[in-house]
Amino acid sequence: MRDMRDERVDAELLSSGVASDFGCLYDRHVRAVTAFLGSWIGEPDVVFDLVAETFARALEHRLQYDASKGPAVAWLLGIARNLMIDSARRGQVESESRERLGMGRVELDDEQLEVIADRADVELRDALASLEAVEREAVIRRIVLEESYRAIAADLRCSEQVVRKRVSRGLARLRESLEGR
Amino acid sequence: MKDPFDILRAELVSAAERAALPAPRKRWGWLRRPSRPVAVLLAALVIVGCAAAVASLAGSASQPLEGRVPGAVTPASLAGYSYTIAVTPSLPAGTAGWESLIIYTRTGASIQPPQSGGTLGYPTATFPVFGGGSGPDSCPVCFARGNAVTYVLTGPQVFAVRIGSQTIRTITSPALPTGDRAAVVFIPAKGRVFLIRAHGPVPVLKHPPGMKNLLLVAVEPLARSGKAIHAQVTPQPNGPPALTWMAPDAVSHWWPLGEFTLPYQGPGYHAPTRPRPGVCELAQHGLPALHVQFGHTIAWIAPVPDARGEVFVSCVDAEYWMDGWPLQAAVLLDGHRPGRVLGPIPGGRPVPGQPDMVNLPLGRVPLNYDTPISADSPQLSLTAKRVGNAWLVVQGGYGLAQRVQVLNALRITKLDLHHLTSRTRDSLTSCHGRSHTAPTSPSASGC
Repeated sequence: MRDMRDERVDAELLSSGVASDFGCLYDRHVRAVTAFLGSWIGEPDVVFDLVAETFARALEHRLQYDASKGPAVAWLLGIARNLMIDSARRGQVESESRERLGMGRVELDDEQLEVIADRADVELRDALASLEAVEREAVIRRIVLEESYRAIAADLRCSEQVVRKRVSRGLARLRESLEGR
Repeated sequence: MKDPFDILRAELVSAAERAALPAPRKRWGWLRRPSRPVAVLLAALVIVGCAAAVASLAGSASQPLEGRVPGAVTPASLAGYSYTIAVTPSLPAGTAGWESLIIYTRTGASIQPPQSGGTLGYPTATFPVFGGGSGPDSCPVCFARGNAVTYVLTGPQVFAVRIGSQTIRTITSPALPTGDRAAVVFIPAKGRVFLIRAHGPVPVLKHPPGMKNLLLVAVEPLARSGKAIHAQVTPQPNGPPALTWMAPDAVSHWWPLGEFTLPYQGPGYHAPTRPRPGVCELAQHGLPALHVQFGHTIAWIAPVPDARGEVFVSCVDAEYWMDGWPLQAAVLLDGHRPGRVLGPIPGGRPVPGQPDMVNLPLGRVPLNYDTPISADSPQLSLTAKRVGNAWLVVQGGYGLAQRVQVLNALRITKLDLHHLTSRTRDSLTSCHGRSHTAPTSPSASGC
């Protein structure tokens, strides 16, 4: 039940139009996004750039978030993932959304890079490993592999609702796990 | 210092205040472009007990550890490449277990995919699948090209693995640690495989991934009877902390290559030119061009009596520099009972004229994906010399001749087997399943 409540609140934060609400959403998910990116990218400045662009893009498109498609953290991780792939292909991190929003690029000194490296060093796989097997599988297949709920449900011989619940619950646990580290 | 995430938060909130909310509600469609042709990879972790199905893994017999990737040869494919799966001992002091990699090569090819994989660990009774890889784990190029090979490494008690709906019989090989087994599977072009390591330190995974050709695959170990082996992830115990030491002139000899430029991270200990007191020490003799850089030793040896199959434990490692080439050296002991005669180096081949040495030729590794391998590319090959009841191992250098030269110059000057953990001493007295041989003396006969 808690997961559903959280996700409803996420949707409200995104649609409220109140600037500070977006800050709350950022507070809630920045660790998960940073850990997700950090598990793939070794350079803290690149991780930070991707985090910044992920949230800038989320801000730009916040009204397009559809809670019926999945929890907000999944939406954010999807953005982060696509940005990561695009940046790998292009050899640089996109900054289009930040530019459109008039956001300045944060200049980072060595100490700040260390802070980012610390946050990015959270072992997402450990957190994933702490989930129950069914939740872990649902999270990976839905969020990382982007399989549809229908496909996962058919494969696992259960209802889409069951898969949605597993994803939602798994993400909530993942977020709690990451916040606790 | 201001927290960069706080700065970013302030920037975002300011931007939100300024932002005019975009109108069209396209939902998730904007997230994805029409097509993403680049295949992606994701690291792999073996998830035991899941129920995911696998569509593209065929056959019930394991492929060999060395062979050729099948399929139509095209410029955009790994078909036709030779592959070799190698298992090498972990060299850092205090660690016990194995690393693995897969090497793709093609005669006459100007571009050679890089080695990949990266497993660290050893099988136990409760967790017999101790690693695996597919090449794509750390090689986006390999996976983007399609046909490739994946593998699972297991303990002696695993006679087959169930991967989705397929059952693949495991094989033994001299290229594996004694007793351990492997299942090797070809991945068809456009096939999807997703393997995740189950435990142990994280291998090299920090590469930008693509994620299209992947499928979550469950790997389930099966006993000889065909029954599933209930696997339980139990964290491997931490080994003793490494005692770091550094030669005074080491800074002038760092390996000037990418991520290897900063091999030393930790509290500095620059004064001595030899390791701080530990259970093992290395020294060199008669080779002036050989310069020691830095290294680690340990205060006590923590064997791994719960390991199945052969396992080594490293008691000292050191980085050397010679004629512009870096070499890593280590002393390996039997992981079950340090001091006992230990087994062979997996895949090691005799070195002509050096009866106590073996060589594991693994070739050179390119510095970046899809870059040519040149004479300057670092070596992965390792050569080992049996010294008493230990292996003295040297990896890297420019080639076999240099490694032999270095091995002949190195001496194990200390090997103190009296410093075992009490837990280990207790377990040694009730060692079961393996022959009991008295440890060597602290002076390590033959050293």
